Amino acid sequence: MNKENEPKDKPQSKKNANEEKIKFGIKFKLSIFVILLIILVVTIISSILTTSISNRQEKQMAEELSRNMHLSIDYLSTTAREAIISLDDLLLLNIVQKVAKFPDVGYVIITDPRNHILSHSSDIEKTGVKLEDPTSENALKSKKTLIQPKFDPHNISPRYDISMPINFRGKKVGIARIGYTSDRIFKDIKNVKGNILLTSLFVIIGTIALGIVGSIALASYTTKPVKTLVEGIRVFGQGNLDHTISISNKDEFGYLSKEFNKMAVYLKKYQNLLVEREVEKNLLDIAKGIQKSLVPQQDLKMPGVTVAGYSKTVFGVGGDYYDFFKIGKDKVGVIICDVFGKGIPAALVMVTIRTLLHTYKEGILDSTADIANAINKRITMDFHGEQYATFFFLILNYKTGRMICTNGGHAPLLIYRRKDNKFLCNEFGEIPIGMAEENQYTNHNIALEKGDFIILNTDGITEAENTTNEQLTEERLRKILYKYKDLDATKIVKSVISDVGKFTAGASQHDDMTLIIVEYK
Amino acid sequence: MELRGLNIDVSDKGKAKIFRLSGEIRTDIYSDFLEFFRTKAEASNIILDFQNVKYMSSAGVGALFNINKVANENNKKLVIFGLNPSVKKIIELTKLSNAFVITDTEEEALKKL
Repeated sequence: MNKENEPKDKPQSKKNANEEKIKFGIKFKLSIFVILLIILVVTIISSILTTSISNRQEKQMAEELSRNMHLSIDYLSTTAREAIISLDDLLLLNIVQKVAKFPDVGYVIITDPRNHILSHSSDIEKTGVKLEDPTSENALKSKKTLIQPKFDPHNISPRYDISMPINFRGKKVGIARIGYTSDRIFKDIKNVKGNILLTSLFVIIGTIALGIVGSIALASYTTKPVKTLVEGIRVFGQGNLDHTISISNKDEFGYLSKEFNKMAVYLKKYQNLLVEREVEKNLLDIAKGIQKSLVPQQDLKMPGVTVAGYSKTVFGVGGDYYDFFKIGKDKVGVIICDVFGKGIPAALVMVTIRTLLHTYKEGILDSTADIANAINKRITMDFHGEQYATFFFLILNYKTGRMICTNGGHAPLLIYRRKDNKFLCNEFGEIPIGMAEENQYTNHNIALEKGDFIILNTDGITEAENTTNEQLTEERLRKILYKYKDLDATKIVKSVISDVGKFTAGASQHDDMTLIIVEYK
Repeated sequence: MELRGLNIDVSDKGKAKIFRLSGEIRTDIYSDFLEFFRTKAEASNIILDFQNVKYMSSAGVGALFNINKVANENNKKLVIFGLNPSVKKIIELTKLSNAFVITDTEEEALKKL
């Protein structure tokens, strides 16, 4: 009972102990995994988006620059042509200064067909100076619009020089040139990139924050059945087999809980069965103990006779019974009995036989048949002719060697006659007791000689089996007995039982074994 | 039907049920053997074919005695045939040869009904 209560007394402490052991639970691991996954995915997507958006922005700005350059140079060459033709330096200067104010324009120059400056947007003193730098040389040679360095929308140069010949009636009258700077574009691109990066960062942080909340919620939802299962198993482990786990999910967890509940039912049944068996076993153990106390606890040694006995029950209480006792001044009584069947009914018959025997033994000194008749009548009546036992009962006068005996369906009496060095088999007797109320048993007189010994055994000995299902047999028993014939009764019993044990080693036995040796000396 | 170490086949034959036993009638099947045949002996004549019974313990003889008793109480008959010498010897040792109707062959057994 204490053992059963123990776990119920301390459920709280056990629970805490269990929880302490779980450092990184499934929920924690699942959350971390989902969060890391979200961070990875968001970062990759943001990087791709950022790169692609900024590239597109850059391209758009480059195209805008290119368009502006072409429009401006067209405008410049067209308007400047009028001024060159009309030789109006002032108009030319106005035009140059006007164009110079266009966005991103660094300088505006109009030269004559030989590259002498006609007008310069930032330095009026350069008028008339011949431009000889490679850019100007290239512009001079080109017959159409030329952008230096070559315009590549994917790789914008910090400075551009765009030039266009100014023609009038098929003749080159000058060259229009505009210097462009990409500083603003670069600045814009940088701004755009910064903005995109900032936005991405906000998106990443926002997504991660949402992801954390979401993943914890998801993990909680997913691991809830696991927690329920763990809790259920914990309660179950404390011995509460009535506990059921209720997970209604139609998934693996639901299936697991159903299987678990089924197992609990089986375990409960099994436990009840075990308890019943335990009770039965305890009762059997008690009965076995009582039965053991009903047979002689030690060998009987008198001057002239030694009686030694041994009995082994295969399982629980058995049907074998043996006994020996002094009768009067010079006699010993010996009985061996094999009750058919086993368990409580057989034990009850055995106890009844013993009780009757001990009641009658002092009154009848010289007739085993009378005692057998009395016992048989009682047993047949009390057990309604349903319980039987074979028996061999003898009373030996150890002063004279005269023996009176009765056999009720038991194995024939076996005597070792020392004088002749051989076994004598005496087949006499009547039916077992318990079968017929009016059955009359008879006395048989046998004279023992000094040195003889009597062997009484139940068929559990002769029918003991070895591992190949061979029986020991009467013949083998005699051989074993012959081997130990010169020992005293106590040693003969021990040695024979030891040899029988060797013969049956490894094989399971079906019947109880009892052996008695009565040594007359 | 199988008890530990003993097979039992049943068939109807005229006024009786024939139970063909094969194996051993050991002490440890005493209760099961008895219980099985007691109910049968209440209901019909029984012929036990012992031709393939290699061994029977003295408890087995006790069981047969009880089955025979139940049969008699119910006005039924128990006939045993085909006993091998060792089984016959066991019955003789328990001095119960006269308690049973024992024949050598199945034909003789059927005539005893």
